Amino acid sequence: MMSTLHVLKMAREKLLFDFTSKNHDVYLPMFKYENQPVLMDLAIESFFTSWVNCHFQLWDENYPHQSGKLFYSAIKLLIQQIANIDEINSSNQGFYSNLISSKIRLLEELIQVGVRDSEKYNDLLLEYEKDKVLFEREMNRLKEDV
Amino acid sequence: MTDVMTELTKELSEFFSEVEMDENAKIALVQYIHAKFGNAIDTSFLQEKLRILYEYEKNYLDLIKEYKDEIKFAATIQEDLRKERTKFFSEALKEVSATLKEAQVDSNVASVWIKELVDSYTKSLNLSSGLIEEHTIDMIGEIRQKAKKEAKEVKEKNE
Amino acid sequence: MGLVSTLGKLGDIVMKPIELITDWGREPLKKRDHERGIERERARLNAEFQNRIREMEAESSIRSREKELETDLVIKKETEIKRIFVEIEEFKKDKELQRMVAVSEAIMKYQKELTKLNVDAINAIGNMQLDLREKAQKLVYDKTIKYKALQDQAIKEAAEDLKTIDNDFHDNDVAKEILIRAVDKRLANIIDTAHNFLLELNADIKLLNQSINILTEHGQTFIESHLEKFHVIEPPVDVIKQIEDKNT
Repeated sequence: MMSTLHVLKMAREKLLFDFTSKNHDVYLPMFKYENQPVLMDLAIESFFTSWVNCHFQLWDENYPHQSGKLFYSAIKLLIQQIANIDEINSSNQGFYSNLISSKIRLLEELIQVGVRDSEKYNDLLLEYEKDKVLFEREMNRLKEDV
Repeated sequence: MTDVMTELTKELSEFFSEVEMDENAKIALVQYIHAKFGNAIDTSFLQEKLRILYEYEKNYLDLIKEYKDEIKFAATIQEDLRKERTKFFSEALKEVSATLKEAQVDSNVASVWIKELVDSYTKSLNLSSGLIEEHTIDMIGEIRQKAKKEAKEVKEKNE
Repeated sequence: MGLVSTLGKLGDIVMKPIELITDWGREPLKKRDHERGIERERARLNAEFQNRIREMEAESSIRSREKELETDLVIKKETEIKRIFVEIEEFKKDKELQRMVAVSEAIMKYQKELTKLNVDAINAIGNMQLDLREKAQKLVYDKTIKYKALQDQAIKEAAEDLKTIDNDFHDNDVAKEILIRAVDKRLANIIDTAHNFLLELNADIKLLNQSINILTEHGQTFIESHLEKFHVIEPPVDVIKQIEDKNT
């Protein structure tokens, strides 16, 4: 139980540190998706899901030779509440960790799809505004000719 | 007069009622036995009771001593978690807010992220608290079980 | 060129198919706009929007079909696992094996774990797939609304500009021609480009959905590797081989 408590505490410390050290994973989305709430939500979900996943890494690094049974059953609750993934009643940590990683990867891919489209949209908007300005100029020029 | 003495007197009287003896001599004899040995018997039984009681208590105290360190330890962890929780809300959050402000993050964006931070952090704290509480309850259950078992052993030994 | 025929030309442009996955039908029509051409176009657009609503419903029925197909896949996998179970049951009946009590117990434990695993894992994966697809859909919906708003604005501004052109260059056909062509081009660009971007977005999302489906493979791989993790028993391939050897 002590090892589980220890890993949980280390993970909490890491979470706080990410915020106070201006970690890229946190601060980049904050600016990049400032005006795109849908992408912002996806980025937030991706970040906190990663945080849950890092519990597994912390355990493997610090207690590689201990049985993870208690740890795993404790973490299940976090996985369910934060990463939004159903409980699986087995002792296979590898499966869970893999599944979570897949989710994070797919979220990131989705975000990229959104970002690519935003860039296209912004380019189109720019073109449109430019066309309007050119139109005004042309209209004024033709008026003057008369 | 203790129960033992009452019992003894009764049995003596029953015994002597079947003996062919002078009535006054009988009474004198019973009284003599009562006077001579009464105290000794009383004291003896009392000592015996005290000894058994002491044995019960000693076992129980040994049990408590055995668990003393664990009990103290569990209490320490609980206390640490409480402190961590307080520190989070009074210090850590302020530091995070300040960092976000200094980095010029939009305040609406900042508040959404902070909300998730608080949510996740407290869920983790609750999980830790829950684990140690469960452990403490299990420990108390263990102590009770052992105490019951040892009380039974003492009883059986002294029957 | 008269304004009416100009707006008629506008109508031709707007006629280009707009595949928007959104609920256009419910948008309130702009009642202030009395230009006959514009009204006609709005009616035509409205009809298109109704079509899109029907498309949306078709799509959701496609989605439920998808879920059906997925269930079929799950059933196929369960059948395979059941087959392995049946062979293990046969193995258990063997008299020699009955003497090996410890091994029998291990087999029972392993079967139990496998079943539990199977159901839980498939559920968890299925729910995650649904969740991710919903998120993708939400993104598409959000973007579609944005493009629609841009197009609406472009149409409105085009109409205003055409009015202005007609007022200011009443008797100057040459100038009018130039300016109307500019408006025409500008509007066409918005509509075409928005249309294409949405097609590209949907193509990207389709690819992503394929990746999401691959998660199901995840479960299959996991179950297969789990079969070997219970070291007290050899992998089912060997068990089946033993049965085969005995029968030859």
